Amino acid sequence: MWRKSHVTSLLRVDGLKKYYPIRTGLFAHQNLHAVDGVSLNLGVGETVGLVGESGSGKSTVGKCVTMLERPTAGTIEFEEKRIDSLSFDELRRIRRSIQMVFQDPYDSLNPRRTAGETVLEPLTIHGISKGRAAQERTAELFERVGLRTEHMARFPHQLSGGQQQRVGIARALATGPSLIVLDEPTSALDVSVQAKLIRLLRTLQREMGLTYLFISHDLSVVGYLSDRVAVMYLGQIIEIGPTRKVFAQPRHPYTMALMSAIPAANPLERRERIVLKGEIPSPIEPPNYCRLVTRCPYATDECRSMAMELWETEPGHRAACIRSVRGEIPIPHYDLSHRPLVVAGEYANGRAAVADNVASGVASSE
Amino acid sequence: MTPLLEVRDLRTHFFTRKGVAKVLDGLTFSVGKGEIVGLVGESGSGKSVTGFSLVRLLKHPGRIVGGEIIFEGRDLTTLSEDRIQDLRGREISMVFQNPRSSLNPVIPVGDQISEVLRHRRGLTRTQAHQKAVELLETVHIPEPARRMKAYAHQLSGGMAQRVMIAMAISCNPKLLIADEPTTGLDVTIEYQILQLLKEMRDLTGTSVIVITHDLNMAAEVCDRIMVMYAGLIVEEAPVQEFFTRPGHPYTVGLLASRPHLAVEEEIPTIPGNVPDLIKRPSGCPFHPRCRWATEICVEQFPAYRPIGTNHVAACHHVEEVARDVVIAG
Repeated sequence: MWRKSHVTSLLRVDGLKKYYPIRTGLFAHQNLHAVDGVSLNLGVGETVGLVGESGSGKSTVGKCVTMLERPTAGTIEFEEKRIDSLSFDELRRIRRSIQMVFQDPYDSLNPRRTAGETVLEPLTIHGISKGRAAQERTAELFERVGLRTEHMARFPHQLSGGQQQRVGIARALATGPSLIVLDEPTSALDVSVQAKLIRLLRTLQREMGLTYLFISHDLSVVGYLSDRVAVMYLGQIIEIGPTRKVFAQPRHPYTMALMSAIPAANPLERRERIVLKGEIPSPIEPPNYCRLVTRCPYATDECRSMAMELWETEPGHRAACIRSVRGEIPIPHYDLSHRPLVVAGEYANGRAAVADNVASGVASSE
Repeated sequence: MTPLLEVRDLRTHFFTRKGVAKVLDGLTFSVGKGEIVGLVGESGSGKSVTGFSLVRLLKHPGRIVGGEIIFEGRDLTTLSEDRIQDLRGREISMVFQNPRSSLNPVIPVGDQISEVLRHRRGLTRTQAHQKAVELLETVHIPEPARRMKAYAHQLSGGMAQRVMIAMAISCNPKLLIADEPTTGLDVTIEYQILQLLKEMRDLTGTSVIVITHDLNMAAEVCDRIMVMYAGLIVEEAPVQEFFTRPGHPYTVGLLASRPHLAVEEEIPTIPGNVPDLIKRPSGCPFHPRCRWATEICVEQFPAYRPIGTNHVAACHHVEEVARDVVIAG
C-alpha cells in the first residue's frame, strides 16, 4: 500500500508564531496573530493535511515552512537542521528541497513565459542543468505530470486550468524536492479536473517518495489524500491525528461542526448538525483561552478560565477541548466506509476493481 | 399548476472573431412557484450565461437568438428594455458570487438597501431606513441598526452575502437567481447562508434558482437539480433521485469523481475536456467523453427519456447506464 510508516522526521515545526503589526494610533500598534503557536511533524513520505477556514492561518504556516515569511517566534527544522534563521544563500540551497504549488494556477505562472521556460528556470537558477540537458529534463518533467512536449511552447493562457496546474507541479518538481507544500492546489478547478490532479499528486508521491504538506479548506480532498490531518482555528491547531480517526470521531467541537457542515453525499441520510453561531472572531490580540468559546455550543465559564492546550485523547490523536477529553460532551461517529456510487463494467460483480478499470482506461487523456 | 418560469428552446450565442459560440443551444426547463432548483455544471457549461439571459443582462458579444423565456405569461425575450428594467429587482433579482465586489465600496450598506426601497417601492427616506433595518434583521445580521453604517470592506464575506440577500429580497421578488452564492465562503458560513436561502423561500414563497458547480451544496438546498452540459440540460431530477439513481453518463461521472472522505480507491475521472462551443460535437454533445457512446450518439441528438417521476435524462443509453451504475450503501 502507498501509506507507509513514518519513522524519520523530515520537517519539525515547533511553537511557530507569525504576528503582523496593525497600526492603531500614531505610536500604538496591536498584533494580528496569524499563526499562534503551531507545532507539527512531518515524516518522510507522509502527507499531512492542514485544514481550516479562511483566516485560520493555514496558508501562513505554509509560507513560513517554505521561508517565504520569517516566523515571529518558534523553530522550523528540516532534515534536523534549523532553517528559520538561515541567510539568503543558505536558504537557496534549502529551497531546492522544499517547493510549493499555489492555489491559482494562472496567477502563479508568468504570462509572458512559455510553460517550458517556466519549468526550466529553476533548473538554471539552482545550477542543476543547462542547455540541452535542461531541455531534456524539462521534457521529462512534462511527461511526468501528464503533459505532452508540445505543451512546452504554449503560454499559460493557451492552457486549460488543469494543464496550468500541471505546469505548476512540474515547476515544483524540477529541483528534485523532498517536501512539497500544496496550498489549495485544486480549489480553482472543476470536479472532474480536480479528480485527475489528485490522482497525479498521489502517483507522484508514490513514485518519487515525496512528502506533502497539503493545505486546503476542502475536507473531502484532504480526507482522500492525507495520512494525518491538523485542523486549524484562529491561528492554532485545535485537533490533530490520523485522518480516519479525526474524521470518523472528531473530538473538538470545531472539527465536529466542520464535519457536520459537509453536505451529505446522499441527502436521504440526514446528519445531526453541530451548528456554530456567528463568525470567526478577530485575530487581533486574541485571548489565550479556547478561541471557540464565542461560537461553541458546549462552552462553559470554565473554558474561559483555562489556557488553551492540546490534550491527547488516544495515541497520536490530540484535541484542544477539555470538556471533550473529560467525556462531558457527545462525540459523533461518522461512517466513512460508505461510498455512495460505484460505476461497474459489463460484469456487475467485482465492483471496486471494475471502477478502477474504468478509471485507468481514461487516465491518459486530458 | 402553471410554473412561474418556463424556458423553451433558449439559444444564446456569442459572436466572436473566431466564430459563433453556441453557448446555449436549445435550453429548456421550468421552475415552479416556491421551488428551489439547482442549475449544476462545470465552468463553460453555460450556467451563468443562463442566469444573465433570464434577466437580459448579457454582455456583448452575447445575444439571445431564439427561444422563449415565459415568466408569468410574459415572454421576457421580447419585452422592451424599459419593461425588463422595471422587472429586474422587483420581480426577479440576482445574488452573485463575491458579495463584497457587488456592493458599492464608498456607500454604507444601509444606504444601498434603502436606495433600492425608495426607488422600487416608493418609500420615504425614514420608512426606507426602518425597513432596511428590518431586512438586515431578517437575514440575521447582529446589531442591524449599527451595521447600517458599515461599508462593504468592514463586513466579512458571510455578512456581505447576507446584505446582498437582504437587498435581493427587499422588493419581495417572485424569482431569486443566486449565482454561486457561497463560493469563497467557509463551510460553516456556507451552511448558514444556505439555511438563510431556504428560510427566505419559506417566508416569502419566492422561487430560487441556485447556479453552482458544487453538487454537495446543491444537495443541501435544492428540491430539484438540473445538470447542464454544453448549454443543455442533460438531466433533471428530484434531489433524492439525483444522488441515488443518476441517469446521464455525465452526471454519473460528476458524482463518481468527487473525492470521498478517507476512501482509498482511485477516483474515477471523466476523460477529455468540455467541448469547444464554436465547433459543437455532432449528436449528443457528451459522446466524445462517454464510455457508453455508440454510433447513434454521434449521429442523433438524444431525446429526454423518463427515468422516474419528474426525472429525465437526455441519453440514448439510459438502460445500460442504469445497469452499470451500482449505488452502494
